[in-house]
Amino acid sequence: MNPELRRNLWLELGWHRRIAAPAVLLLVFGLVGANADPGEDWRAAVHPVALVIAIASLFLWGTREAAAAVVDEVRSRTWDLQRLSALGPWDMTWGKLVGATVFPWYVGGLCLAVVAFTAPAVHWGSRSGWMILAIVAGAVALHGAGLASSLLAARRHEAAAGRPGAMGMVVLLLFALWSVSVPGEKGLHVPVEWYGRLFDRMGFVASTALAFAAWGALGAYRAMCRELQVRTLPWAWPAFGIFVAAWAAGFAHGQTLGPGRAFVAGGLLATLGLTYVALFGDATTFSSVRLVFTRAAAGQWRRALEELPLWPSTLLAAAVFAAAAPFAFADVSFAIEGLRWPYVERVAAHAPLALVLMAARDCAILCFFAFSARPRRVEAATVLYLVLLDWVIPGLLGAVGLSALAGWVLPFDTLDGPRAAIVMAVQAGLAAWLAAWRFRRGVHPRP
Amino acid sequence: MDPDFPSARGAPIAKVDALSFEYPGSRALDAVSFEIARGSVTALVGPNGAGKTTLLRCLAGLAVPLAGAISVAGVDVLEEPREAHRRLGYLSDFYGLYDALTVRQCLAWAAQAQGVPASSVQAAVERTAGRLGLADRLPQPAGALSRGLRQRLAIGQAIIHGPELLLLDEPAAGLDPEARHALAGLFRTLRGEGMSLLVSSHILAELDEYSTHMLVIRDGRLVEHRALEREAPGEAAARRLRLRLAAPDASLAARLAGREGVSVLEAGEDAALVAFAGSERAQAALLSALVGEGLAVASFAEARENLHESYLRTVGHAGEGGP
Repeated sequence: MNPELRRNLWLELGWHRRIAAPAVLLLVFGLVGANADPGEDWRAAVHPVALVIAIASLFLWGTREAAAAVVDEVRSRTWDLQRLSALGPWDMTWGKLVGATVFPWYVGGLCLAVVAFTAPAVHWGSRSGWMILAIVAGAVALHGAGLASSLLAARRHEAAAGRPGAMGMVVLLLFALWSVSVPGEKGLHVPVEWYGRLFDRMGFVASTALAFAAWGALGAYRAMCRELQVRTLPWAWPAFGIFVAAWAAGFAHGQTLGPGRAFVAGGLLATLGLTYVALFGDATTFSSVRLVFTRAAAGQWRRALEELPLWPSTLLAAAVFAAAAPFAFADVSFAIEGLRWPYVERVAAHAPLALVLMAARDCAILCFFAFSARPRRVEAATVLYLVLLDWVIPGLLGAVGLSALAGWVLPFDTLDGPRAAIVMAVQAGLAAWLAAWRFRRGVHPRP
Repeated sequence: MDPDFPSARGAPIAKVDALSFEYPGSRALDAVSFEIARGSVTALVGPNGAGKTTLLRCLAGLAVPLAGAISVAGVDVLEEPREAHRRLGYLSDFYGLYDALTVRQCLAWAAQAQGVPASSVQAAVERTAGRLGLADRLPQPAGALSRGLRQRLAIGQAIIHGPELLLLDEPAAGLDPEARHALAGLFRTLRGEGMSLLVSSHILAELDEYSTHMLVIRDGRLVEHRALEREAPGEAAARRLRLRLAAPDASLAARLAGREGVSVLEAGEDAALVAFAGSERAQAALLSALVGEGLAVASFAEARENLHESYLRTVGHAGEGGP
């Protein structure tokens, strides 16, 4: 048996818990069934309760446990012991993915069994198989994201940083599932149109959850590789952005925008979004960047790529999408009707290069703080300056009637695409110069 | 230990070549190079902030250096860290244990995680617990152990897979004298079984009990790496002997000078330190001759420089040389 799984079984699934959990669930379901309305099948009363407990156990509790899996080890000083083991990254990943969440899986599994058993009593019971699959796959996706965020937090030596990241993933997945759902039980029978083809709604949700589960497990594995010093090339993070864009673009079929343009705009936004997630979630330190430059200077380009932080890969992918945007949107008026997020997508279509340069500026600002001799609260300082640059200063200038000047700070509303790009290029260049200056100060003079 | 390891018996157990590690504005390790001999116990000493812990973490594959190469038992630590972990054990200065697990579970988990075959895990647990005096503690939770026993358990986790090289960062910190003595005995036993040890500690007297080599680093640079005198290859040829007289004699230096195998290192009227190249029989003959010449010899014995003196002499020379 996987040693990491066995260790977690020892810790998390003692005989007391193995007995207590089904006993408590039996009591709850018994009470609910006994209090069913007269004439109502008790199974119909128990079914939604079991469903809610399963989702809460697997999505919330399980994700919380996965997000704590590594940061708790760091806190109790056992993480180095784990990193010293001879287990490979995949063994360590699945051992933790299943092991850390084994008790929520135990409780959730019992509830899902009850869901399956009581499904014939509800009139959408024929869909329960897809639903159970979607819940299981969604849980794996979230647990993978939780473990990955926990590993990133460990790299940053922040014992509590994994949980907010994982909870963010919970919100993201729930939002994704909500976006393809239709309210009401009848909605479950309404098919989904994706790239012009109709799919069974629950089957589509389950398939989507399965795809995200694969990405979640891959993300956790890749993060584990980095922690265990097993080097990998940085392709997975931008590939995930491209996947999200391609998935979302399928829904644009038949709309004004169309899948092609939606893919370009969505890809730009997704890769930029992931750039910011990586910027604030991953560790960008003087030492990590110094390693990259040292490897590059020695002509070890593969090693340099392997040592890269996560954010440059998605920033580069965003630049590729930005380069494609003028071609994709060449014949499109910016007064497009029927867009879901008109402002964001208009900006993506109107000033893609400026958006990428703004992200590059923000990365450089974070680097400037991270390259300090004693970096403290790097992310908080960066957020403060971004709020000043993107909100406070333009707002103040606008309030005193200097809207034209405000456009030179945040140009998206007032300047055309090329001029917005020039403004952002100047800002990004200045921030990069400052970051480079501080980096050079940190480089020890000895060869 | 696995006899099929590629490294030959006489080859060094660890090789470090031009290792550099940097923090912003400071170089924690600066082109450090050395080799650790098989079967040796190397005392890693240096002032606080010298880079000892960084060096051990790089050797253990827990920190990525800016430049340089590290191999343990012939395995490139930077290229194959997981494989290297099978060959080494590491006890950090702030180690952790799974307090809710029993001693048996802790050891069994460590054995499995280090690749000990499932059929051998039980035997490895029993053997390690016996070696560390934990055999009667196997059913106890780790969290219920005293500090000394926790230290032993942590060492047990580090050695259960029979590593060829054991890295220890301040292993005796916080232990009482009795536990320290037991620890020293354990390290001697491990060395006797063929394991090589690299031990960082501030307690030089404790290191002196079992160390065979001394590796001194200061400001991230290797100051000295040498065998301690009692292990030096020339031991039989030249030993340091201290002569003490009960009554002063102004001609002491002259009487010693010129005798076969004797080089006077220091001499006063009532004591002298000489380098003596000869057997113990020759030493007895010399003593007999000196007594026969009327010198009131109170003692004539080997003068061993302990690790503390050796370290101070080394860093003293390094200090004279300037930064």
